[in-house]
Amino acid sequence: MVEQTAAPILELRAVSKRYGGAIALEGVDFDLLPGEVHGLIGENGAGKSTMMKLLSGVYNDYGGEMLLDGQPARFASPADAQARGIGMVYQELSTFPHLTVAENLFSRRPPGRGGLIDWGRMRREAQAHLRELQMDIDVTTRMGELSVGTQQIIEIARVIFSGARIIMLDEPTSALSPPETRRLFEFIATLKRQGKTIIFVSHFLEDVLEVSDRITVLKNSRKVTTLDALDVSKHQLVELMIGADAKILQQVYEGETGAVAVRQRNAPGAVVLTVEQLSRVGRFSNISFTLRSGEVLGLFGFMGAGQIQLARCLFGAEQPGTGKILLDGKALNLKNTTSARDAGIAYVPENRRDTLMLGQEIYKNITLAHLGTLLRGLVNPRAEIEIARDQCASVGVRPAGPNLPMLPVGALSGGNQQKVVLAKWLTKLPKLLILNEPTRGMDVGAKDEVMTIVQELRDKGVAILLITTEPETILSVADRALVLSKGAITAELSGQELTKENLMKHA
Amino acid sequence: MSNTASTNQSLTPATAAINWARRRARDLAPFMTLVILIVFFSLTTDSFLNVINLRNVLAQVSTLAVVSTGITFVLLCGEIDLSIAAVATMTGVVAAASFGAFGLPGGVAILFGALAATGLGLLNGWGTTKIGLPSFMATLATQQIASGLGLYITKGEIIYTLVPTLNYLGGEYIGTEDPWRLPVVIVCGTTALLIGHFVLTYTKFGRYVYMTGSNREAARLSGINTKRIVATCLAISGLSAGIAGMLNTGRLGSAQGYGLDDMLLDSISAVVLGGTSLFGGEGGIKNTLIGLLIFGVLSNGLNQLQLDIYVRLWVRGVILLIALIINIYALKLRDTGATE
Repeated sequence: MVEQTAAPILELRAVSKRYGGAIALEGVDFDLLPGEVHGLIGENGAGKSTMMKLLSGVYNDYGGEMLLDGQPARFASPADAQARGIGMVYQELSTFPHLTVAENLFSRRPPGRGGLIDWGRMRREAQAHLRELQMDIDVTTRMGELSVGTQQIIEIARVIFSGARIIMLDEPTSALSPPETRRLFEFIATLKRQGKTIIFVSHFLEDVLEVSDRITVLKNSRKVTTLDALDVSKHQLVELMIGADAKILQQVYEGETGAVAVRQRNAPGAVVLTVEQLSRVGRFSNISFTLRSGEVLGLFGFMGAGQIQLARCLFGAEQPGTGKILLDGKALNLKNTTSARDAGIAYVPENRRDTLMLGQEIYKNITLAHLGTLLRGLVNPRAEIEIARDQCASVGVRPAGPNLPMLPVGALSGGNQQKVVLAKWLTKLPKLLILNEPTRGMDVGAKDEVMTIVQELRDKGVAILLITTEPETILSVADRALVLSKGAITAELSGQELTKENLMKHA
Repeated sequence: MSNTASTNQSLTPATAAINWARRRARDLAPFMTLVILIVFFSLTTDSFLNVINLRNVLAQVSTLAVVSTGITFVLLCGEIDLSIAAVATMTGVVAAASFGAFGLPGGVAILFGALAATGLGLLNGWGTTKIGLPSFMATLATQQIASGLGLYITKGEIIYTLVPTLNYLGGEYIGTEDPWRLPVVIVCGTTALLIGHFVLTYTKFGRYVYMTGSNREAARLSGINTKRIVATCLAISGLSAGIAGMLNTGRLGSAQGYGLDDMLLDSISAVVLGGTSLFGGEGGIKNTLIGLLIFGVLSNGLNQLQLDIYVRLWVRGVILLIALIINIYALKLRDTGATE
C-alpha cells in the first residue's frame, strides 16, 4: 500500500531541458512516493527518455529543481546517482553473457581484499542475496544461458545490491513472454514489500495499468497529469497520451480484432515466396508457407522461437541447413545478402544498429542498399541528397528541414531512425519485404505511421512478412498469421480466428 | 552539427566559425600540426626552408605515399595489413631478379612484380574473408611468406641490375637545372594519391569501403558484399606495397631482401597522423597526404637540427605521440560539441 501522506522520496519541480533549440522537457512537476510503483507513459519525444536520463544522472544541466528525500539534489554523473540510491535498468540489458550470475551481480565491486577477488565469498553472498529476493537461481550458471526474463531480474537484483532504493525500469516487458512478465510483476511485488520504490516506464499500457499504483502521462514535453491507476482505463490513457484523433492508433493499442475498415485492400496476387521444409539445426525446423504479392503475413512467436534466424535465412545473412526457398517460382540460392537484395528481397532487422551507420549522413544511409542501380557511374552526392529528401518526406522522417539528409543518422530519435531504415529499402520497391519487429520501442504515433506505410506498400503489391512479438501489430495490419513456437509452425490463423488469444495460445 | 538543424538560434559569425572548425576537427588538427612544424623548423634552422630541401622532403615521402595510399583503403574498411613492408621488399627483388637473372624484358619484370604483390594481397583477402582469420593474423602470416621469398630469391645478396624504367621512376629527374628539377618519384607518389582519392571519393566502390568500415554488419545487412570489399582493399594494399617496393629499388639503386622494415609503421603513422581512424569509416587520402607531410617534415627537420642520430629517433617518437594526442582531443571536442 502506498501511504498517501508520506513525503515524496523524489521530486521534480518545474524541470526543463533543452537540446540546442529543441525543447525536451518544459515545466515538469513530478513526485515519487516511497514504496510505490509509479508508471510513466507517453510517446517518444514526449520527454520520457529525457526525464529518465535526468533522474539517473546522465544530465545535470537542466532548469528547475530535483529533491531527493526532501533535500535539493543535482547528480553530477550516473555514478553519483547510483551512489545516492538511484538504479537504472535499461531496455537493452547491460549484462555480461560470458560471466556467471555471481560475477554479474558483483560486476561493479567484486568482494575481496587488496585487489584480489574472493570467489567463494562472491558465490555465497550472491546466492544469499538472490534468496532474500525469493529468487532461486544457481549463481554459477553463465548469464548467457538464462532466458532474457531471468537475466533482467538478475540485472534488477544487481542494481538493488548496489544500494538502489529507487529503481527505474525502461521498457522492461518488451522482450518478455507472458509467463516471464508475470514473474517480473511478482518480483516487483516482492520489491515493494521490501520497501523499494519503482518507476515503470513502458508503452504497454496493460502492463502499466496492472503493476502501477499511480501513472504519470507525458505529452509534448509536458506533464499532462498524474492519476491513480485504479481510476483510469486504457482507453482514457490513450486519449491522454495522444489526443482524441487516432487513426490506426486506437486499434493498435486496444488490440481490436476484425477491424475490417482498416483492411480495405485489393485481393492478394500471385505467389511471390514459397518456403519448403526449411530447417536450421537448433533454430527452426520444417518451415513451409507461401506468401502472395499484396499480402501481409504475420509471423508471431515469443523471443527465441527462431523467427530472427528464419528471417536472416530468407535474406541470405545466414544459411539454412535444408529446405528450399522459391521466389516467383524459381529456387533461390541465397549465398549472401547481395544476392538476396538483387533478387528483390528487403530486410529490416530488429536492431537498428545492425543496419544503420549512425555516424554517417542520412543520405548515405538511404542510398546504400541500392546504390548500384540508383545511380549510373560515379557517386553523386547532389542526386543522392535529392533522393534522400524524397524518401524522408514519403516516410515522414522528423525533424523535417532542408538540411535533414546531411545530418548524421545518430542525431535522430529511435522511431525516426527506424523510418530511415524503411526509406533505405524503399528506394527501389521490393518484391518481398521482411520486417523484423518494425515498431519495437516506438511511440504510438510513430507506430501508426509505420503501419500506414506497411499498408501502402501492401497496396502496391509488395509481399510482406511481418515478424513481431506484439500481437497488436499483427492484428492491425496482417491478413494471415503464422505462429512460431520453439522453431516450428504451430498454427496458421486468418479471418475470425485471428485473435490475440489464439496467437498467444499457440505460441 | 545540431546547430545546422535548429533554426531557432541566429549564429554569430564567431559561433558559426567554431562550429565549422568542430566538424572539421579530424582534418584541421593535423593541418595545424603541419603548419606548426613547418614554422618551427623554419625558425630554428637555416637549412629547412629552401626549395631544394622542401623538394627533398617530398621525394623522401613519395614511395611512402604509394604504400600509404594502399593502407588507407585497408584502414578505412576496418582492417589492417601488416605485410606491406615485406611485400614491398619482396616485389623489388622479384622485379630485379626477373630482369637481371632471368632476362625478362623490363616491362614484363615489372608486371611480374605487380602480379606477385597483388597475389599476396589476394592471399590476405582470402585468409581474412574466406577463412575468417582476423586480418592481423592473416597479414602477419603473409609477412613471413613475403619476407622469406625475398630472402630466398636473393640468397642474401644485393642485386644491382634493375629495370631501367624503375631507375628512371625512382631516381631520375624531369628537367635539368637545379633547383627546378622535379624528381620523377614525386610524380609517382602524387599519381598514387590522386588515383586513391578519386576512387575513394567518387566511385561506388569507395562509398562501400567507407560504409564497410563504418559498420560492417550494417553494410552486410544492406546488401553489400563486404567480403569482396575487404578482399579488394587488401589486394589494393598489396599492389601499392609492391609498386612502392619497386620504386624504392629505383631510388636506392639496388634491391635487397631486407631493409624496408620501417615502412610498415611509417606508413601507418602517416595515415593515422593525418586523421584517418584506425577503426574504419573515417578519414581519407586528404588526411593521408597531410600525415605524410607531417612525417616528412618532422624527419627532415630533425635531420636539419643536426641532432645526434639516436636522439632523433626518440624525439620523433615523442612528437608523433603528441600529434596523435592532439588529434584525439580535437575529435573529443568535436563530439561533445555535437551533443549540446
